[in-house]
Amino acid sequence: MDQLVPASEYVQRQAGPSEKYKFKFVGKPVEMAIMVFSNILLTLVTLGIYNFWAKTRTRKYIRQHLEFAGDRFNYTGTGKELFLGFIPVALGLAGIILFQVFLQKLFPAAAVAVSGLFSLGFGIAMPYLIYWSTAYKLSRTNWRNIRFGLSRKGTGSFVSSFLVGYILLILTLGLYMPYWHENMARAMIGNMRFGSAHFVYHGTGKQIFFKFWAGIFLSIITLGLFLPWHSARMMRYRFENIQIQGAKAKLNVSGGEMFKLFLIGYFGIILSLGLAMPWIMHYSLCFFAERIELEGALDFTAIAQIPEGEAGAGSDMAADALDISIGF
Amino acid sequence: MFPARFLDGQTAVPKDVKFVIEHRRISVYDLEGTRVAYWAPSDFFVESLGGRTRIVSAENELISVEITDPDGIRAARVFENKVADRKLLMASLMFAVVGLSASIYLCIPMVSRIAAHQVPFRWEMKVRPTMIQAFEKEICEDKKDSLTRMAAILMGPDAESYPIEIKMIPSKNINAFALPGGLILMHSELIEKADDVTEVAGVLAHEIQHVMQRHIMAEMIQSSFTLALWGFIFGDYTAFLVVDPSTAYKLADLKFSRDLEASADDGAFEMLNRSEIPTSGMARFFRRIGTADKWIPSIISTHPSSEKRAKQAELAGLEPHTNSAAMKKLELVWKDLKNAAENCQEK
Repeated sequence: MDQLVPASEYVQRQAGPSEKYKFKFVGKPVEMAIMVFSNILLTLVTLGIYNFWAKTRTRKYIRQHLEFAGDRFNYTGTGKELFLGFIPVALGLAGIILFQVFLQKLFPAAAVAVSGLFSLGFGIAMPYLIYWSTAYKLSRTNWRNIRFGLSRKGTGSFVSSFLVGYILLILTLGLYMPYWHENMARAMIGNMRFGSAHFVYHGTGKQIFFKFWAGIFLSIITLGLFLPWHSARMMRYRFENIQIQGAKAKLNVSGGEMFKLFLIGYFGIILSLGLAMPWIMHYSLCFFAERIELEGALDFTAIAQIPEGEAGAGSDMAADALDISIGF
Repeated sequence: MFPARFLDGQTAVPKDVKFVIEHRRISVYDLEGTRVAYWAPSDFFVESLGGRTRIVSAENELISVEITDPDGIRAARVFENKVADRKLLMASLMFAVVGLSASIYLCIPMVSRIAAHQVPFRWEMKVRPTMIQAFEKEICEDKKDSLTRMAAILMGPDAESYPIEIKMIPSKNINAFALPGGLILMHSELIEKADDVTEVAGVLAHEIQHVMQRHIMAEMIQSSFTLALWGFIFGDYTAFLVVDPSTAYKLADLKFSRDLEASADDGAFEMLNRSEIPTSGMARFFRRIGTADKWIPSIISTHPSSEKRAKQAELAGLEPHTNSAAMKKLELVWKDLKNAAENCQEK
């Protein structure tokens, strides 16, 4: 049984100038396997309806077993709100499909143009869904009962980073990619907060441009072997540029360690025909949690809860339905 | 009094507190002795997480008391029954949903067959040109239209309601199949290897029954619905796109179920008897193909066993019909059909 640090002692410890705050994943692989397989079974027997509760159960388990500075995160989202959020999404999608089917029958020529318009609409909706879906998940995540959040005001900057960047990506034949990634990360992470404390992101496309393309080039000429080293470098860069209350985040991961993680994940899933998935999931969560740290003088007394309108679950389900994720 | 930490949901700094349970009510006091929370059983729930126990306010989940003291945990866990009750409720709900879902799933084939009959055949016929186009390069020329003539003999007055089109394609396999839009394709080898016209007539009658009983449309509806359902289960909502009738014909390569095959057999026996054509030809055909599929366990086969079907064909026949008017007409078609099959094989 682990022990919580008494609050009085904890406040005293905060007086120090700078400290390293560690993460730790304390979930058990067997518990995760039971959860994953029972989720699959229940989703099957309920013809998918349990999917919403399964998703919530997984999110809850992961957060409730993730420790930061000795305290666990928590997740307050519910399957019911995901289910209710899904209904308008499903109706909207069904309406669009039916409309297209009827249009195809009645005005085949117009159907092509309308289909193009819908695709454009989905393209424009995509950054909104990514942003709002992240907002939903953050608003349901808390640590020491203080909620995380994503500012609604940041929607515009994220959407414009995404859409303008996408056009520039096409025009530059992909060369703009590091700028695109960093601009989106700045718009997203820069609008995240923990209670009243705001996250800051300093990364820029300019700083990472050559490293990014050198990594891609080396990955190509080594037939993908360099990819773990490239992704470790990109992830380190991402974390190094995140700050909260002046404390800097850090991801202590090497290319070799990433390579090992890739090998375990890839062969573990293939050789076990997917059965080892919960163990690999557990290994990955422990892997990253152990390597992430925050260094600086965090002042928890200055962090207060911010009352904010609830983020809806509909965007999360819409993003899920359209298989949209960029992994923030 | 048990030691604990209190998180008020307002600040990120926990407060050292003590809590006490009296008359199933929880009182939380700070170190100065001021009561910071007082909860009746309906005001909180208890959550256990790998060695930690939390008493959480039911009204605001962001207010909680966190306990690691073993005695405190023991005292708080008395209230975990509430969670068990909730689990029981969830389990009952789940069983209700499973029961309902299972009934829906069992109803899909039945509903699909009923729905198929509501779709006018002329609608289904609209996909025929697309189907013919798909096999255009393979279809053999049947100058004397022998297969369509044979179908007209078998169908009688039904030929008007179901304007079926039958085409021959070159293949070394003995096979025939019905496609959406009332199109039937027959392999030339089936005609080549047939001992007499009654064998081909039996197979054709079977395929015609698939069309007339709307099995193709039923399978399309069932496949679309099942695929959409599986998509929903696995969270791939794009599966709903397959419900689009303009893409549904792509699903027609799925096999008919055993029930539909048996139903087509029964319809074929009736059709042959009505036209006074012996069913013994059909029985011979089943026995011949039976040698090829003997290794398939009957439980996984999409067709009833060939031997069983052969026996049923023998029993269903009102023999002998060898001199009936229909038989005479069929004999006239037979020579043309054989020639067409020979030419087709050479293609």
